[in-house]
Amino acid sequence: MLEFGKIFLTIVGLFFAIYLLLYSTYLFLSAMVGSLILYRNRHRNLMKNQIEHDFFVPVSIIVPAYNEEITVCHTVESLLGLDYKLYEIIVVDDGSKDETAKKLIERYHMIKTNRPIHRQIKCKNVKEIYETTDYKVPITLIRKENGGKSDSLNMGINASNFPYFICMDADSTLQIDSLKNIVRPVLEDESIVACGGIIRIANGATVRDGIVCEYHMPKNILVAMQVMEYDRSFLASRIFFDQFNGNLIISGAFGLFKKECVIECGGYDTNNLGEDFELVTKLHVFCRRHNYPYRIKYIPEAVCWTQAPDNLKDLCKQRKRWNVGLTQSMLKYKEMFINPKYGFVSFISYLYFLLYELLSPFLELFGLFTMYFAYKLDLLNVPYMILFFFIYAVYGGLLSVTTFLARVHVENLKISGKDILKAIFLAIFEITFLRFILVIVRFCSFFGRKKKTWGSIKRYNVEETN
Amino acid sequence: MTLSLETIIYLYLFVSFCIILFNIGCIIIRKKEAKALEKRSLNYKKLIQDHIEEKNIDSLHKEYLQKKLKKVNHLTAFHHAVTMLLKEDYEVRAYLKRYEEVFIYLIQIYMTKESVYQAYFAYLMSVYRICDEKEKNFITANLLEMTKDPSLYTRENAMKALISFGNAENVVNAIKGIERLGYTYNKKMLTDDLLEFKGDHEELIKLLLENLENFDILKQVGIINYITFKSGNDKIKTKFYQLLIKEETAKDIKLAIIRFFGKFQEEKVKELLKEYIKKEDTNYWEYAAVSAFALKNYQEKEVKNILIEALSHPNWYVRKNAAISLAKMKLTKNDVQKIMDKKDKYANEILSYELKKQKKGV
Repeated sequence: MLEFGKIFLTIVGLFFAIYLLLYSTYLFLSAMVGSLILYRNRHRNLMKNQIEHDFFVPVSIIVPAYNEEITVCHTVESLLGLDYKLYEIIVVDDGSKDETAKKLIERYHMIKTNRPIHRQIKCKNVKEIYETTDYKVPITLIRKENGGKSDSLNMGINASNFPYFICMDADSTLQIDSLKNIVRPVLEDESIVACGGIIRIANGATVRDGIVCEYHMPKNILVAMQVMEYDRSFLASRIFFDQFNGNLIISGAFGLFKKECVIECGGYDTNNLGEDFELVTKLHVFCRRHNYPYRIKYIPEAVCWTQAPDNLKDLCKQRKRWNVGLTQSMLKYKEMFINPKYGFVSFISYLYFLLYELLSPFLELFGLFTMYFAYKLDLLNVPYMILFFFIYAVYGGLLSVTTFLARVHVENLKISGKDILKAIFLAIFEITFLRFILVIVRFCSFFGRKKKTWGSIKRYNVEETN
Repeated sequence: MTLSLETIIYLYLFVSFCIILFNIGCIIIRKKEAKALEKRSLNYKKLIQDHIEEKNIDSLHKEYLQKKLKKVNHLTAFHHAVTMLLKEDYEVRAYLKRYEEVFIYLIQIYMTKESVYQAYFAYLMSVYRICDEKEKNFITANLLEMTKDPSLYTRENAMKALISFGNAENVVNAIKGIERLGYTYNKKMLTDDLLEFKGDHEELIKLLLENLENFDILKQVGIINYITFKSGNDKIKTKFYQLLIKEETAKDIKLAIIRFFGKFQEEKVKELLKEYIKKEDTNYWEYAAVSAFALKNYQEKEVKNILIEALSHPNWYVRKNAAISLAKMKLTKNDVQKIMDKKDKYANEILSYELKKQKKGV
């Protein structure tokens, strides 16, 4: 038994050593690449190394909404203030039970029309359509049968008049230059089929007329930890993946897509809870299968502000939904697993999401089990283990602070000394505490019924989030 | 193995700590640089104001600028000062024109620097517009060289500078240079750039037409779209008609030409457009759709009848564009009755929507 235990633990030890080494390397590379690229981009922008045109490509902004009466008018108002000339706004009300539609109709004096819609992607039926051209850009409200966010986005795509569309959440706010910044790469490279922007947490920010007037770390510790988490993703990981066209996700809160390409690959999957991940992965598969030269870009300068859950219950609901969506997409596109046809997308991106996002709850629990097993066999070097965890926690925390500080290279975002101290404190706390709660949530998401519904977190009027 | 793992983690820790120090260093340096920039900008502003009213060149001032503006941070401060003075309605352009020799000297320096700084210098040239359309000098020659740079931003900023100077030959030579080197030029960007041209558009169009077929498809489409905005003289119509009827002409070029003839009518083209709409072959739907839209300005009975038939075309875009065109024409009660009699639900729906939209502005 002891011999077997030793062999078993040696193999497991080797596995986890490689596993952690690869993860550490990935975190390190993404933090380093993130900082360098952001520094380079900022320098380039200061030296006017960017495309600047009065008229960019025309874009349809699609805002799917379900029970968003509190935030929808503010969102549309912020969209009307964008520094961009050629676009339209399409709000898709997915059978809301509140006064989402009524608020919009009254606020913008919208008129009911019989606008025909070219249904290129299957979606639920339209109930009513309202339009107005009295404002800077045409605004369309489509009231339809309830079908979920993906279905609403598909309806929006069907209704859009322009070759590119942006999907946005109804509780999000764009900065005045966000649309320009996310569209800009399309003029630089015609093979771009999708662009993702950066999502920032609005709790703690004052955004007026599309300009950040004030910013500080949120007072709520849970939200502040999410800020650290988002920075690791948006100021590091996504920039790293972008270097080899390897991003498998563009956030549903703010992403630009080439309409023709999305229609050709069937639009959003209405059976998938993680429609953002699914669509981007589908685009990779579709373009590679058909040998289309393509690029999926990430633009850290295109900023979208959104609300984050401020209580554990809502946060767990959100993460459970994300994990279910991830599982569905990873299984659906399992052909990308160690497939040379997909290059780095397969060997780095897909493997990363498989091992360090999808399977990590199981692996971590397995790790805990083997530690207990080793302890029982008296083969565990407890002081060494504690030291190792300590080093790892410090390493994780240091990387979080590194990516947090990378925001100095992002325009219009100042960091105060107080925020830096808060970030340092939270970095360790987030790695050791929140992370384990979310591992358990992600583990539990594999079991139980998967409800195909809109996610719901408590909404605040944006002015209240400070 | 575990010892090596620790060593690697320590190494990563060390480098991450260095990155943190780098980022903190950036915060501190940027704060200092911002203060220094503000101070320098105000100094340059005062300096420019002292020399702005002069009629002649002050050689000491010229030498001072040549010496200082070689450094990018000084050039940035100088530009800030110029921007402030432009906002305050000072006659800065005359001053910049007077000290053109400074920029002739500086462009040589910046041509030896990295692309990112060349692009910045080209950007300043496009803002200052110190060369006029008659000039072909050292600055324009170097800007032409910049349009051949591998960096898209350098090419674009240099192109914008040449466009702001208004010399048609320089602009066309720049496009030819880009074409020779095989660089792409987004058709939308090309159209927008050409629309910003500050010189004689007729001259520019003449030169572009002479060289049109030497460019790749995207550039040709960009040029045709630009011409559509600007002019529809007989020479252009003849040239475009020749391209339209030529079988080898690429589809995208033909579609752009059809849009041109939607704005500038031509009888012989009208017959061609009518033929395109009648084709129900799915391979030709784009021709049919664009033709349906282009025919909106050909106000005659036969065209109207063809568009009414097109309301029942199998392709959605053809039906939509036919409805848009019909809504812009004067439809009689007979026309409307004719459409209702077809009992085509989709045709009625799309036409009634476009008519209401035309009437009410929704």
